[in-house]
Amino acid sequence: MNELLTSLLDANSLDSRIALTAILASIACALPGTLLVLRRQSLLGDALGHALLPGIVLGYLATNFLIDDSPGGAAAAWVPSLRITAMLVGAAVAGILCAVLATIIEKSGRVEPSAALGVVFTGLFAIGLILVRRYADDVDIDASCVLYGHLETVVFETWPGTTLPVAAVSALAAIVFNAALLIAFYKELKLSTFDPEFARAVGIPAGAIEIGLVAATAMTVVATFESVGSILVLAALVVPAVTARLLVNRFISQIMISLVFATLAAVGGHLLAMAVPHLVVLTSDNRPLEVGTAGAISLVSGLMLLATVAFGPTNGLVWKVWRLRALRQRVFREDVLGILFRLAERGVQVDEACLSGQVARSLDRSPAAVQRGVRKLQSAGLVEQIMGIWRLTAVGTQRATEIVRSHRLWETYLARNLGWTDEASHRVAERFEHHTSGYVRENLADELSHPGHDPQGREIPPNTGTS
Amino acid sequence: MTGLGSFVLAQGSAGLLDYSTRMVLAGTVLLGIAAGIVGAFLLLRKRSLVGDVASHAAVPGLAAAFLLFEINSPGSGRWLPGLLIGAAVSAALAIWLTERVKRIRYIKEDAALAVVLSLSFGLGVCLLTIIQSFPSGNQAHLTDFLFGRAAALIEGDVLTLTCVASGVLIITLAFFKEFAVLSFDEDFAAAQGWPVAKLELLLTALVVVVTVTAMQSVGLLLAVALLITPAVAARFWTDRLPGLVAISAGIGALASASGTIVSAQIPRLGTGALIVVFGLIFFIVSWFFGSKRGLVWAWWERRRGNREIHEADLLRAVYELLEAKNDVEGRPGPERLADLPWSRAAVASSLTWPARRFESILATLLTRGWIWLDADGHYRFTLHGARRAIDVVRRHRLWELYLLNYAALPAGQIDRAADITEHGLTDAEMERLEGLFAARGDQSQVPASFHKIDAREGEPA
Repeated sequence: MNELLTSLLDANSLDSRIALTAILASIACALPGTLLVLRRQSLLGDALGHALLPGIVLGYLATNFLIDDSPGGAAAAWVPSLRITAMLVGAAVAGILCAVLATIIEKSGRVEPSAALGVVFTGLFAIGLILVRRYADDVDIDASCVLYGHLETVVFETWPGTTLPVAAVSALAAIVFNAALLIAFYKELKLSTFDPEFARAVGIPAGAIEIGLVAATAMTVVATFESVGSILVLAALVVPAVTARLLVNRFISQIMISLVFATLAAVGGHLLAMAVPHLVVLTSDNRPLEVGTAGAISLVSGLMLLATVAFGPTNGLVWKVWRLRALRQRVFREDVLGILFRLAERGVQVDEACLSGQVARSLDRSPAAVQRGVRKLQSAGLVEQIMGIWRLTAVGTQRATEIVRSHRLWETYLARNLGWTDEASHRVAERFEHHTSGYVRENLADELSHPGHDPQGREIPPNTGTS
Repeated sequence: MTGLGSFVLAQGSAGLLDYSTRMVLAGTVLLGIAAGIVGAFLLLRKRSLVGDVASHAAVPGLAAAFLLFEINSPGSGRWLPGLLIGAAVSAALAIWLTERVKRIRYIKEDAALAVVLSLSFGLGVCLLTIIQSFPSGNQAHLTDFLFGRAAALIEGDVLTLTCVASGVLIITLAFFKEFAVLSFDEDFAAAQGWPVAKLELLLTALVVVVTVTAMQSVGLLLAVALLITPAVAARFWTDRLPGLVAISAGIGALASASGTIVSAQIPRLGTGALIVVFGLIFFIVSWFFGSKRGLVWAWWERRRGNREIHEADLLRAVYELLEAKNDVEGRPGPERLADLPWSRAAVASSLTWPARRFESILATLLTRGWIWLDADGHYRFTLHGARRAIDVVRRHRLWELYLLNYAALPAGQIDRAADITEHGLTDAEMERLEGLFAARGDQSQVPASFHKIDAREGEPA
């Protein structure tokens, strides 16, 4: 592990270049991606990733055609940068065209928007694949590059005169561009994202914003194409943003946190890609496993999303399950207290046999579960066992009184005000009794003019003075 | 025809008579039909991109199946049924996962789709790169599933495809009613007691089966195109469900056939991609020329409707001109109208039309036999035309009266508002209007216009 980290931090090493490029590419994608997610247009990212492929290939071809990139040629060093520039322009145009065509198809055919988009981007993607195959020898793209980029090798193409990979520079340019747009049009973007009608009413050109976003996303996709490929770019666009959305509620925080997750994914992905070969040695001839960086980045991104979904502060599924379990246990124990109270009312002595028999039956739980519950109540000081007989303590009696009082007040209320029968009102009271605070209870009592007995003639226990 | 015949005969080893090409053709066409059918229902259910999820998410299952088999017994990784099952399982899992993810708070439907799609593909890519480092990796076969290996279809594969296509067809026919109601009114279906969830599951299963089978022809990346494009293209030809399904299947078949044939002629282009491109071409044709909503058709209908309106307006303009010149008591009847000459200049000046339109409509009225040119160079109504003009004006004025008296429109707006609506009134509506005004005692066939029409100028005041 140590060697990995030191290699990472060494500015001259290949690893640090890969990591830097990966980080910049991820951040570049997360910026427009956040907006797409908030505007519920994630699928536009999917579409653009596919639809821009022919444009990318044509950009390659055009540059190769226009510039002699034989190794001795003077212009050879500038080919990558020129190529990127040409493709960026083409990307913006192609992206806008794609979105516009999809909208026209949607309106004229009255089909759903995603279907219209699907027609356009799959067709364009197919054209791109044909171009890739046909001109595979002329362009530095092959099928796998389309799928997931070739971050590991693209870092060898450096900006003339430096060791900085061109891919990193283009990603950085995309970041600067996107950040500039975001800052310049912050108000308009925010308003048109969260309240489009109001934005229109106030005079913000929603259509122009939309087109601008599409163009910016398209350019970002192209700028990071070699790092993450055509299809995984969707993960880079969307997943950090979705993860951030689960954690924060404010626009600016959302953007910032998504950038954090993007960076973490990039770093984690690269570490994973580097570490796996060292961790796992497979097959009989000891060849190490290889995991592509882009795939690893999306994997790490996904794991972080999973972790957030499971363990996120308020909405984490794990906490929800835990809270539900806690609630169930509280309800069960209160039911036990209630039963003990009612049995005491009738003068029944509760021994172990009674617990396993009568109590378990009326609670419809197993004897073992009842035993456990009672033991928990005992350690909480709410019940005690004296000479084999289980009794409520003073504190337990107070709590049980509150519950039974709630129950019988509710039954009285339902019978008087809604005319409900005993069975129906009992069932409802059984649920309500666990969620009735002292405040509600006493208001209920006031409303009913402090009845002494419930509809079945049972005595309603008096107010114990606590909630 | 002889040219076509010699073309076919000249195909030789790469042509239609070639056995392997026929195999591939049969396979891809069958798949196109199956995908077209399923795609039609997906389109109506507004779930077209489920195919996208299924196809991208099939990749990890594919790779995992390969790995499992390969680790278990090296060399067995490429066992096709195993790979297909693996792909199907992960595709189905992903669709289920999308539904669950949608339910997470703050994650909307599009984000759920995008997340599941991209992450499952990412996992698949990781597994693919792992496979690459296997000595017997032969991963080229696996990327074939991504990009399609239609050219390598053999008889056994075609058999599988036949079964799949037939299965899809049979199930669709058997459950046609159910799918139809599910597509158009899910709540009604549920209220009627139909097992909506199970039907949805069945449809999803069909999608998964079609997608996984498509691995072999167009490849996973393009499978979604087969599910979407033929259906959307069919949408421009029909408004009825059986038609939609049939045309979608037909276009799917056509695109597959075209792509396969062209791919056989021109190597190194990729059959799958060509099929999708032909699908796009057929889509564009449908988009423009489709008989129900095609752009060209819509333009033509609009133009025809406008012309009808213009013809009516011209007739009315002539009538009003003649009405002003009429010196007989009451409004002129058809015979009287047919007697009165009028000049084109007088009528043209009362309409604010561009010259070209005026000439064109005038010519049309001549052709229809509603007007004719007499010896003095004046135009006259024919009897038929006069009756038509009377009908037009009657409509217009009754509607104007309605707007004035019942809809409380200000008088200044009446003419323009009437202009637009009156052409769409049906006979039943006309009867009701007449009933309204019979009570007012206005028994004449054509009510008086409440516009003041100047006798000399012929222009409404």
